[in-house]
Amino acid sequence: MKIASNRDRTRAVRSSSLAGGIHPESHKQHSLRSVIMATPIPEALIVPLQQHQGSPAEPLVKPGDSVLKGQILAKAINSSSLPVHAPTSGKVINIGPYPFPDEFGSSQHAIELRTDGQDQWIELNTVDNWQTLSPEDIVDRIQQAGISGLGGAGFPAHRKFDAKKPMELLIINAVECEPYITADQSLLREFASEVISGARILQYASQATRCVIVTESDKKDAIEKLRDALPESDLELLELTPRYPLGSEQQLVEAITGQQIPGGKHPVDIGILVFNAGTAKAVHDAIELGQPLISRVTTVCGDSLRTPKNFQVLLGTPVSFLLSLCGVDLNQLDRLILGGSMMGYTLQDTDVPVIKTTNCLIAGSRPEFPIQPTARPCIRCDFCSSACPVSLMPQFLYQSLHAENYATAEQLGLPDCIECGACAYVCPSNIPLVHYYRAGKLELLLKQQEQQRSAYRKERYESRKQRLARDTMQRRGSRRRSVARPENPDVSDDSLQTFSRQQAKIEIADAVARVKARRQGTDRPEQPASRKNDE
Amino acid sequence: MGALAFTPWFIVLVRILAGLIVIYLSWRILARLQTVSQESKRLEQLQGQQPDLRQKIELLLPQTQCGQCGFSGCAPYAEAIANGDAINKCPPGGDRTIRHLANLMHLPVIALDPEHGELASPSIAYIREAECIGCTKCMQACPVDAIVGAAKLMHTVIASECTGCDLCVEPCPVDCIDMLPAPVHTNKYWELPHLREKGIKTDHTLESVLS
Amino acid sequence: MTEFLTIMLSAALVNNLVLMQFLGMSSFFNSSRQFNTAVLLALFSAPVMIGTMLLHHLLNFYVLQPFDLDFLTLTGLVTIAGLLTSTLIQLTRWLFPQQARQQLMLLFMVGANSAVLGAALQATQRNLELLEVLALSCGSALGFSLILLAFAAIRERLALLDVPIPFRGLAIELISAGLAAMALLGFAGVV
Repeated sequence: MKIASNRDRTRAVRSSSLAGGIHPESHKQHSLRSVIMATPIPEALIVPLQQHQGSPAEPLVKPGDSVLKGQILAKAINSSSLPVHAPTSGKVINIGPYPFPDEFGSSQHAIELRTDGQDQWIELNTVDNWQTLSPEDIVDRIQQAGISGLGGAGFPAHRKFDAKKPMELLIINAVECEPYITADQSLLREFASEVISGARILQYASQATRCVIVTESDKKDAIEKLRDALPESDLELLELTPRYPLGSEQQLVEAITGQQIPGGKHPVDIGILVFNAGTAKAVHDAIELGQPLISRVTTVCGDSLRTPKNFQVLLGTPVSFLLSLCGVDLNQLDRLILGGSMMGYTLQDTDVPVIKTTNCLIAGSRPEFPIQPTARPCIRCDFCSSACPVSLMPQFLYQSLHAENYATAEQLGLPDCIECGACAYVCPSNIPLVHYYRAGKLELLLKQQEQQRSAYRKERYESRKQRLARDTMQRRGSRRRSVARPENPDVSDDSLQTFSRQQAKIEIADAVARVKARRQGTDRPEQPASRKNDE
Repeated sequence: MGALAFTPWFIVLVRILAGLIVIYLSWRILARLQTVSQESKRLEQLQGQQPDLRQKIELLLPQTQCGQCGFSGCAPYAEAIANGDAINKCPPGGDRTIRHLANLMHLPVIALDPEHGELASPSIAYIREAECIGCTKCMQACPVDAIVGAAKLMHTVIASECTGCDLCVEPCPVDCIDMLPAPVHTNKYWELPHLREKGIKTDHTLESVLS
Repeated sequence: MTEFLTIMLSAALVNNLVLMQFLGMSSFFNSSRQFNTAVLLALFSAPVMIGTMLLHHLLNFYVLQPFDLDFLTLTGLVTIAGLLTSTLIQLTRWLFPQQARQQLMLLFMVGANSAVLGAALQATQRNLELLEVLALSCGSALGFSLILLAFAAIRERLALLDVPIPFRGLAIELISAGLAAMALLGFAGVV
């Protein structure tokens, strides 16, 4: 495994391995003016049961229970599930559907907590020296602390260790290329040593040969703090030229090592582990301090706020609370975006809670995010192909999706699209390209599900045909046998058949008459209230 | 051959010979063409035209085995499509199946053939248990064995296995089977932008296939 | 050697069979709408073209002209083309038994192709030698295949585009062919 330059402690790497990409204005200076502020405790917290990719957690508490800070509220049900902990002490009010932060405005099951303001910790389970634990123990503790990827994808952290093969490289991703987001940068400014400690724990748990911390070269303050906190050790610091989708794990791996991740696979499949810097700090908190994941750093910025800054937010804090902390001017607030300006989505409801993957909140004004003009026809300029970091051809993908030809889109590599939005950013005709790709991917997913269903039904149909053929053979075989023994006519299958057929006809006629009489007696019954179609 | 080659009667002889050869060869070529076309037709019927293509088509069909396309099941219809039959005969598949078949076979997308049925939303059969007489007629009709029961005992439909093919409704002598709309299992909803915006003028019909 | 290349280049690009001399349009416009099938078609028509032209040259030079049978040129040409096509079809059917129907279509499109006939007649008219005929046939086959493949790719893309209703189908294909022909005009005067 070759890293693109020699082993100095800090060095700059030209990200020439990244094809395409854009360099938009970063808008990061406003939220970096102050240090991370810990939010005060809101009145109520809404803690969703599934804040990660995988299966939801199962509640262990019921309404009316009092909980302490860090107490487990819901347990993991299988290996792709993560537990959920109480971000502060209080009482459980309700477990039910609450608004959930996603693009569709859906609601999911969450636990509502009424806080008591005491912020009382539960007794924590710490170890003196984590190096006495085995790597499997550490991975188990990472799961029990409820740690998922804090970079935005929400993949359960312990599942990255499932590969059971030795990892060659551990990358701590502090690139944070998307405009407006400064969560990782401010985290590194103040908690660099914790991040490095978390990196060492992760390296021990994964038995990785090398460990690298990556960041962008224009994050000077973070780099300085990292350099100070890095003793002479085997942790390396890499600085990359800023370029937009460089923080995406596929692009990062390609830029650093030159290796491409095969389509549909993950970096662990080629021996590389990638973790976000915030996740590394959460791992440090979990292993060194015994604290589960109950808060994260979130950037709150935008022109309609008086004081944009970074917050250490308790999970489950409503977005409206955060906005009021920053002095939002509701007259100016035009668009509320969860996430960065490239891959974030607009929120309609300010009552949604902050969850493990919420890295940024942009309270934008109309001049900051003007209404885009209507899309115009494609002029075949192909700026989009130059911008695509995955080296796809957005122009042809757009053409095939516009003609609703999903098969061609699949052949052109639509499943490999990372939805970064670089193509839509450069399009002179303002075509909403990423919307097309998302719709196309959904259609391909539905097609795949339909095909699986068809294959299953075909299997059932075939097995039914076989069963009927078997029954016919058996009947034919037994009939032959009964003909060879004519001395027992009552027991032979022939007579059995005629008997049952005639009798069945009579019984059916009786039953039909019965039902008709019953129906004429009472009105035709409505459909029953409960549908019990299962066995 | 010298001077002999250019005497008039020799030339005429050679010319006649050449003509005969040409006629014979043309006759052989025509005969060969005929046998080639016959053989290829037989070959198609014997081993099925391109089994790969047929499998792909079959998986795109909804496999309800309902028979509304006029064939006895989904497999014969897939075979027919592979041999060039129209792709718009499957009502349970709806517009989505027609579109995917059109993409696979490189054919234009056409509307569902009305003489093979109407577009219906996916449905699941439901037996009104109070009226069931236990005749097993619906069980014999179900192509995927989604109905559980025995003679003179109550029958019921396993909802997860029911394909909504409608074949059980007719045989029931007491007419106790209803087709209820099937629940939709996804909360994701992305729509192609030109289907709801008027920005880009298009001559395509603005029907959303994402039902 | 340079003359070999010159003849080949001029037959492939400067005097392209399909777009400059407008021969073989039937197979051009009836051919496949998919790139993969067009590759098969091109691979199939190239040996037919080369073989037909060579055999026809041999037939012409050694049989027809000495015996003053020039009028049988065209008949002989069609015969040779048909025989060669059916032989190759048998060969491909033996090698790839699954694509029976496609092969039947190939027969009619390639065997009765005016491009093959036109190129062979040109060789006769220009009184070329065997090696020159070889160059001409390779060049013609190359140019024909190139345009066939390019046009199949263009048609795949045209199927996705939003063509105005009056222009759909053959009209937009003819326009595209015309534009491609204008592009090839750029080679005029190269050789």
